[in-house]
Amino acid sequence: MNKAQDFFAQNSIKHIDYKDVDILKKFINPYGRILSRKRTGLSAKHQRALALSIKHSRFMGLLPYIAR
Amino acid sequence: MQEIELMQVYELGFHIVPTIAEEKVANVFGDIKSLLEKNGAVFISEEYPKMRPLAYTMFKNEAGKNEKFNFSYFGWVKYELSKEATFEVKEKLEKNKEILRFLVIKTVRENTLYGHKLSKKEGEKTETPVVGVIPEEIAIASEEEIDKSIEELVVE
Repeated sequence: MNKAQDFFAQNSIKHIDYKDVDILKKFINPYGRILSRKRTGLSAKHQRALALSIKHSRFMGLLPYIAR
Repeated sequence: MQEIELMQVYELGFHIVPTIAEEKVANVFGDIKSLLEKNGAVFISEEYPKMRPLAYTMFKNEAGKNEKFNFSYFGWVKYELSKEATFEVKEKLEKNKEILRFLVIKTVRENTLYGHKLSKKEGEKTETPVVGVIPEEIAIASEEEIDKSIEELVVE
């Protein structure tokens, strides 16, 4: 995956916020599971940061652990 | 210089129990901020707690009973504080019965919320043709009006 497909690099987002639910929702499937790097096209660094942010967001009840 | 190096930017996100009346939320928010201030926090930004639905039911043990919550007042504060003081703040927050749940994370001083900006960008793309047309019409009309008014003035 090249840099052009990395959503956070494209939009020059340096810090992924767990409160930014609109962005995080793009990277979970209808069941609430985190999409794989194959599907997100993110760099390894951003994928790790994203996973952590989604987990923070779940803990704070902004995103579901399991949906449907 | 040493003091500055020891400081770290943190963000405290918290849920206040929905059983509290809306007028009293300000007091609880004030208590949280004063607790941080006592420990020497320097505030950077904040968001006032607002009622919002939770993604799942949360439980809080109160006097031996598990209470269910589907809504809460969610707010956050971004501040700068030393590492040692952060532990003290955490301990005190855990004892606060009005706080349903909270999370302290390390963050950066700059704004980290991009959701609104990105959605605006997408909105602009669809609106651009409409936006482009209107000013031209206004400009043409205004020029004609100016010409007319000048002619009228000349005639007079």
